[in-house]
Amino acid sequence: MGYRKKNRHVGIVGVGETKFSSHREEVNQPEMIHEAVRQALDDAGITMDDVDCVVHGNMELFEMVHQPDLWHTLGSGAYGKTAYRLTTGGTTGGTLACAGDNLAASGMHDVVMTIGFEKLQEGHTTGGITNMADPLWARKLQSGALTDSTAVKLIEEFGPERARTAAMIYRIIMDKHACLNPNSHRAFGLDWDQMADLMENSPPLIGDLRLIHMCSQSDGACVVIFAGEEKAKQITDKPVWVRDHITVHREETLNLCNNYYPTDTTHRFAAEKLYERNGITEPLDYFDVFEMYDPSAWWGTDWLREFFLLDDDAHLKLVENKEIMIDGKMPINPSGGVIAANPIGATALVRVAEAAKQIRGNAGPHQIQKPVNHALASAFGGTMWTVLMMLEKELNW
Amino acid sequence: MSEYHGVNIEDIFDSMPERFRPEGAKGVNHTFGYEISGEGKWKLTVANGAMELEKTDDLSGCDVVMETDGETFVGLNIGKVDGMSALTAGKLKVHGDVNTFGITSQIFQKFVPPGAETTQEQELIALKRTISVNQRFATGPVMGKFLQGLKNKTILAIKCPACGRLQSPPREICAICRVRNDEWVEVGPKGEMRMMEYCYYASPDPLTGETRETPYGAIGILLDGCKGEEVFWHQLRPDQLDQVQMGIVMGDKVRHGSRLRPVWAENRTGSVFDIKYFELDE
Amino acid sequence: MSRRVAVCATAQIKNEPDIWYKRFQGMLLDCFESILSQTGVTFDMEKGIRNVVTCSDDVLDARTISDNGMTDVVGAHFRGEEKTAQDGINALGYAMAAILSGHDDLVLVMGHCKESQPESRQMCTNLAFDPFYCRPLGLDFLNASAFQARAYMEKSRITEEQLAKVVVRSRRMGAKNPYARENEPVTEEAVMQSPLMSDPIRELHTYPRTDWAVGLLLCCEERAHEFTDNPVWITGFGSCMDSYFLGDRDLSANFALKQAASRAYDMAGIKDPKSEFDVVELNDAYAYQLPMWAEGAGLAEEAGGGRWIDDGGLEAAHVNTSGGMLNGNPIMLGGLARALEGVHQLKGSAGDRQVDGAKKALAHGTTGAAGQHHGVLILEK
Repeated sequence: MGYRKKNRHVGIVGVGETKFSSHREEVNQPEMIHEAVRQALDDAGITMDDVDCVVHGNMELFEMVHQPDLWHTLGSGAYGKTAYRLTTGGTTGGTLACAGDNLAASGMHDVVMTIGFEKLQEGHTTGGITNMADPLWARKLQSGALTDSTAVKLIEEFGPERARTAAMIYRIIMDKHACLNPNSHRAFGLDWDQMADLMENSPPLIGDLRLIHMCSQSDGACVVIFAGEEKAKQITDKPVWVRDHITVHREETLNLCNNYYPTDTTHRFAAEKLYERNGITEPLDYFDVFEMYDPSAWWGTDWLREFFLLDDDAHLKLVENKEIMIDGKMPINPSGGVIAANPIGATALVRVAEAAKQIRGNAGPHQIQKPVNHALASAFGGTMWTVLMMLEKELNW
Repeated sequence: MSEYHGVNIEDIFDSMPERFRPEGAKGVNHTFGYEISGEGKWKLTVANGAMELEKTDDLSGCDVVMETDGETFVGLNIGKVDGMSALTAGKLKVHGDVNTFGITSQIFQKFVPPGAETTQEQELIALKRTISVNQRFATGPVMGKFLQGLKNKTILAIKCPACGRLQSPPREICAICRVRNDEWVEVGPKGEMRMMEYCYYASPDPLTGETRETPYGAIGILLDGCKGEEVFWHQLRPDQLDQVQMGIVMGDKVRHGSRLRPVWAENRTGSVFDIKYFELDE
Repeated sequence: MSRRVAVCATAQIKNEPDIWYKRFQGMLLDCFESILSQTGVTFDMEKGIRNVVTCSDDVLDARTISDNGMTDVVGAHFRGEEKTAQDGINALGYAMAAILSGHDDLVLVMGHCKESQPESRQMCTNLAFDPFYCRPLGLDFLNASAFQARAYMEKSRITEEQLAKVVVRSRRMGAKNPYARENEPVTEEAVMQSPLMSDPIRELHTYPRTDWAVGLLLCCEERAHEFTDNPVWITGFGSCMDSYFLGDRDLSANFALKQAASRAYDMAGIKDPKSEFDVVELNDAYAYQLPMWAEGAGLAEEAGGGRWIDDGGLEAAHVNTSGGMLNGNPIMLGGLARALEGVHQLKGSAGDRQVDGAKKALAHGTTGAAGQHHGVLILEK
């Protein structure tokens, strides 16, 4: 017996996002969370009384607060509520969304508030990520989340000129989107004529991975409120329905630091399984927007092939022909994505929030102008872990 | 001289002597160069708790030079522009060590534009702490045997009884078959280099705060006896970074990487650096 | 659709003071292999486990993303894994939701914790407090509990003798449990004389430092028979978060536990906790917590915890036949140890500790300072 029928449908009824920035020194952690909680409640038009479950998540070793959900009760509204804390590294936000869906679908809870946050300025981000590695071996060798391996792969497959150019086009498109999103942490106003200069002069971090390609280290919180079908329809006339989600992890050392291709990626596996069980054969046609967790321009470019189950250079063409722009055939990250803002514990939840806003049609200046009925959101973290979630405008599948 | 955000570039430099903080300059011995396009070049020498500034065309003696445009420079000084963002966006370039330039922030009081309100902005209290809890990490018998092997100058790999896959360093289970690994084989010690992460940026050790010297190379080596994905992760002799070749297998296309051999540490304790590094095997 | 979830198999290693000879991957692998061999379950994407819910903590493991190093030993390679970073009772609650939602048929729950690894448990729990006020004051879960102990002991007239009884009994019960930490039996005098750690909590009132790992296989009702012919049912779960700042809480009021218990009872249809449970496992990290949690769960009268002990309540209600947290389980996993005992009792596999004909059990876990968060699980045969 395969995948059973969902117990009941779940809709997203409210979202809240703080401005993402590297300087939120004027608020402490519970205060920052509270901003997003307040926004989400107002967005849904409900109060904490209506919420019966709170799910919290982040990567605690960044801020060095053990079990921060305890302290954050001051700002999260979790007092008196059923409360969970789920953490899965970079995919935390995605896991929170899955939990919101699972908990509301189970019938155990009617309204579930999920909270993802990070205050990276209060710790040392790369040191924190290095701490992820095995203390007996990899910790001495690892350089955080930075790797040149994707650039090496793309350059080998497509040649240095084409690969580097594609990654830079991707980067600039993400920045253009970020400039439309008032919540972005970083929006540089990059333009096409800067490409050559950036490709040449942006300080290199590792091999061909340059500073310009990498995501920011941001502070921020995101809240998404999920509700069971009946409740969702009572709360709002525009619930965004969660259709399905899948989580795929991988063992930490497998094929790391190797140049052995093709390799199985959790991204492709997740996409294959998710689309298959939902009867989607042409994901590029089906989805109207994809909020992808793209921590670097190289990864963003490469993973288009994985998530859309493409072959050869179809993904590069999407980038080169600028189809991934907000007005293109397959808009990617109209929010500017992770390169523009990465408050790690919240980031993946922001992808879900942004995708939901696109479906609702009220994302703001970065709203896609065509109708958005089917959205995809991904989460990335750990050692190439993936969470993939499908959102729908209508309950019609 | 142009004005940006109501501030003259000259104001920033002219005010340096009065903003100078001798206590922040203790132990600082550097020459900083400022190249502001369209405005000019300045050389700042800090030594023996004192500073010297001159407007000059010759920045040759400088340890580190900042190159930027007037608007960004003013923005940096009045807090409107974030240094890291400017650097990333290419609006700011630093020739030399970026961290050295950071020292200037402790040498000078913050620049306050002339005519700006003199009411103090609310001071934010910041609490700085390094948190450290000592740990005693167990190796367990699997990792333990492997580390013992290193002490004896052997590199061991563990084998999956189901698929025959080798893992070095070893893991208790084969992730793919979900079966406990139980057989040991010796591999290497030499091998072929696959991937090299040419690291210009080093992340600090989370427990000690130490940063290693850059550039350094973190490498994946296919040790003799291993195949496919069975790659060993270590580091390269630092002075050979530019002499080695990555190996790659892409479908049918195979390119062999440089042959490497391990250089063993004199004093081996059963840890990752019992192998000092790998070097070219010539 | 069904409202209950089956526990098809459980596995654990022995609770020990210092498992220096294995790292946590090895500890988990022992549990993992046992579950697979008991049930024959696979990780097939259509018929097997697609999702694993784990329980561990970054600070205690000194590892960012503490579940990152264990993906393989819990079978989660190219499968899902979601980590609950709270007491493991919540992992069971979440796994239950994942199954009842229809998303997963099977969920493997795996937890690990090595209290022997960091130099001090208190240094770790001190980090749970806000960095500006409570942390510099030196608050940790031990001394925060001491505040609660003082308030509670006064309210319910708990005496040193009663606490001593609780400790002596926990060791006596633990001695009958082959997986419990091996502790020296103690006399009541020894308990009452044991040095104060944080007044009024004495050394022998505290749960000793322990390492442990555990696994459970949960399954939807429709398919439980594929993996066991002796399922134990999870029929209810509830949790509740109290306020953070100790000064904001009425430390002896059991606010969070009462809420959590009532939610679990509602879901399972429990009307009279005093009479309906055959076995009760309460998460007593410190001796005073046993009578206190008994009050909060409705097993003893309000302010009657002391009397309940003197009247033989512990024996009559078959409380903590496992030895309880007090005998030794690591923080994070207390609730899972409680659940495991409940499962064994209901399956009839509790050996010398067996309560005959046990049909309903309560399992409980706590997270945070002085029980800021409680989770309550109902198990039935």
